[in-house]
Amino acid sequence: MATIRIRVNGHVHELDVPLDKPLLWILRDDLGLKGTKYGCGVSECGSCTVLVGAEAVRSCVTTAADVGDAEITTIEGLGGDHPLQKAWIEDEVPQCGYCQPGQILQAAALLHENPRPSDQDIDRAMSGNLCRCGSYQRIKRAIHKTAGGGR
Amino acid sequence: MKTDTPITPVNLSRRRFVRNSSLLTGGLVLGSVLPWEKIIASANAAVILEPNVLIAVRTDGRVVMQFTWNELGQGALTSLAAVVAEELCVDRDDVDVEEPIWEPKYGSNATGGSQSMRNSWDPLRKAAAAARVMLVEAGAARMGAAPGNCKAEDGHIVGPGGRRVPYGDLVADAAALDVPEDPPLIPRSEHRIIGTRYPRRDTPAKVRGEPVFGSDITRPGLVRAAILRCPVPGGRISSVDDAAARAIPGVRGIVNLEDRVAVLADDTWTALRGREALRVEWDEGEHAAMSTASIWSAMAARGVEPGFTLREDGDMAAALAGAAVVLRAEYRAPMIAHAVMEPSTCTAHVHDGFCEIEGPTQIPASVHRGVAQALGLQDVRVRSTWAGSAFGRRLFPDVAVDAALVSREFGGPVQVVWTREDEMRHDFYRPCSLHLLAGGLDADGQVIALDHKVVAAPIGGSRDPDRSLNRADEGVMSGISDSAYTPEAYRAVHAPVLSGAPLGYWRGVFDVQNAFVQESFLDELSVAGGIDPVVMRLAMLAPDARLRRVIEEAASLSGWPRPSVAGRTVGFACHECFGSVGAQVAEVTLDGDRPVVHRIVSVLECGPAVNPDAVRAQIEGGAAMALSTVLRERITWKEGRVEQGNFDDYEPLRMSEMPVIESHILESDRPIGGVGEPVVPPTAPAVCNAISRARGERVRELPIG
Repeated sequence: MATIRIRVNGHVHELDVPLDKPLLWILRDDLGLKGTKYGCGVSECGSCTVLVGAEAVRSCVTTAADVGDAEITTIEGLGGDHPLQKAWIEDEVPQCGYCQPGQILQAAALLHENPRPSDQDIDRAMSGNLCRCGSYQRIKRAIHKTAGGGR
Repeated sequence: MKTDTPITPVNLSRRRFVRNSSLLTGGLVLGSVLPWEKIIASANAAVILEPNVLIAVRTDGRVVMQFTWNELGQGALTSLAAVVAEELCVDRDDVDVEEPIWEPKYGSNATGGSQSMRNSWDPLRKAAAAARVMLVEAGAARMGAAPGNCKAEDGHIVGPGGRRVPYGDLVADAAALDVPEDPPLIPRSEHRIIGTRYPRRDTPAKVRGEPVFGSDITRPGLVRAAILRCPVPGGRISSVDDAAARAIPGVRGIVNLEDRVAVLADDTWTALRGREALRVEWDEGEHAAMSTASIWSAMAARGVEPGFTLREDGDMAAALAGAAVVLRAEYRAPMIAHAVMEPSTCTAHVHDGFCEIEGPTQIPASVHRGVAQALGLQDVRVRSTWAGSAFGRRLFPDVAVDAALVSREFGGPVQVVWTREDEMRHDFYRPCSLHLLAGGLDADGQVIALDHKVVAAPIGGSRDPDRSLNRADEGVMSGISDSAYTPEAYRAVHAPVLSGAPLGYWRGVFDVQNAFVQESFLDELSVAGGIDPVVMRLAMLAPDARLRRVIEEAASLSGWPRPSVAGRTVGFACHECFGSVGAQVAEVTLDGDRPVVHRIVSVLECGPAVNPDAVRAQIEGGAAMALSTVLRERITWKEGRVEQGNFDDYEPLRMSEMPVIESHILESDRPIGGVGEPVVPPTAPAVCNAISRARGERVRELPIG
């Protein structure tokens, strides 16, 4: 056990956790931020995606030490009215909804890096995020809409 | 208001509401609320088995619908509420949806078989229409007008001269009236909501990460349980050393359940680490040597023996003997996993003589039954939660039973958590199947004989091997024995086998593999006969066959037989199941030998489409899931164990592989059909027919690898 200090959605938390405890379980079980989902535990599905700074990170294979002082943003910290969230609502992207927090945060990282992505850019950035319901076509459309609306 | 007594109609076949004292409490608890509820199944046990939905109109004018199905992502929660709003002439926003704790009065709905709308459509509309008629009658009496001069509109009864009385003011009077036996339904042409685009109720919360899925449940004192199961089905523990697990800080206890061991901890991570620290020796049991090779070789051996004929039209031997061309082929479809995004979970708390259950399930009634049996306890309160997809995985109560047993032993609330590896290795798999086919063509290339034998395990067959091995199973033969094709000779035969693998229902069930095989083999025959596959199919269908229209529309909308972009190859397939018909056209190219699927035109005719955008979402998602099975999905066994464990070796379709899906819904006045499953079966054969024509070599086994 060790005392860690992490910054999540604008708040600083000090916690006693095992050093190897993945950020995913710190967020979910210690901080009660349940919007970040477990899907695979090995960085294959993207359900646990959070932003560290502006970068999309798989929280299931990340420890608090990996993050250091950087600001962590989970779906709860995105504001609720983020342009991506609005586009997601407009296009009725979610089916079961389980993977969508990860999808939205991955898309946020993409648009931060590339405000006007092509289809291929979107495929490249988003293909690490699985959606078993098959909402990919709508995710892509919602990202394009958000990117277009930003101009 | 005359009374707070809630009035309950038993079902619409009975003439009068009966007073239900058990609901009186609910009415009082809700204060001014006066539920006069529709179509509760009666206290008669035989009727309870029928699906039912509750509607209440409250004295504040709001309509409350009890949602007793499960929202798995298909949008049923939104669509059913829309049906109620439509028929009761209120705004969609005036309908509140509640998800009650399951009770026998709600019936044993299984949110599976593409049934949630199909089985609600008529009873729900009739119940809401009855409520409307009664409100009109009560409003007319209040205004001293004839009911014929009054109408329901926007939550009010409107009388002569435009006088308006809100529903809420009429609830008590209406509740005292007889239930009309056959209330007039609003005709399709006058629908304001059904068939239009309207927002899903669950979307805003889902994009904000707010819904509480089963794995998100918390409650004071909750511990997480990671359960170690024997990797071989049917195996048991012979010895367990849990000293290292108990030594981990945060581990709260170990519960030994004969054939599995639960490690309990304050948090998920510690429970998982505790489980890793267990040292267990297994008695692997009778399936310790099971392998994919052994399963297939048993099936091949069974295939050469006679099966049980479920359908036989014409004289097969004579038709094949007289055919100008005879083709024989063998097809295989593998075992596959559901791979639901949210691994299985359930929270249970056994205390004070009852058991609370919260978790994602497709059949709360079955969870109730399973837990009650396991605990020997009748008072089981099941609340179903949001589910991170289901596709048939959550039809079984296995995880709830584990949670209940562990909670009882532990003496507190317990949440069973499955990892991805648990999910991949302890699923109820879609059975694999071996298909032996013969087809005969006449001199013009038309199909005159089609003989299809399926070697496969009936789902649930191992519970009664003597019975299941000595009969044809209609589930296994779905889409073949009831195929709309009528060549001169047609035969459907099932050769049942069993293995030790746990089997279950996967979205579309046997129709998925049966359509893959039958529609692929027809494509082979069309190549052999030199006839266009669309023309050939139409020639095999009766003039009034329901499939005709979707076939013609899919051909027309896709530009068949030309691809939309030169250089692509096209493939066609269609299928009828779960009360609907679909046809799809796929366009592919080859990158070396690797197929790239560019476009799928998918046409569905499902009777009325209550929420067309939700239907389109199912068409898109169904195609994605089916394509995933074409490209990669396969569960294999070795030494009694599933070889796959995570998404690196069982990899569902990714976005970069997603073709453009053009979805088309054909409105029809047919009875309402299913959606979530019938959208799946045509995809694999349409794609594989395109691939086979591009390669010049037939795909007869999935995945294509």
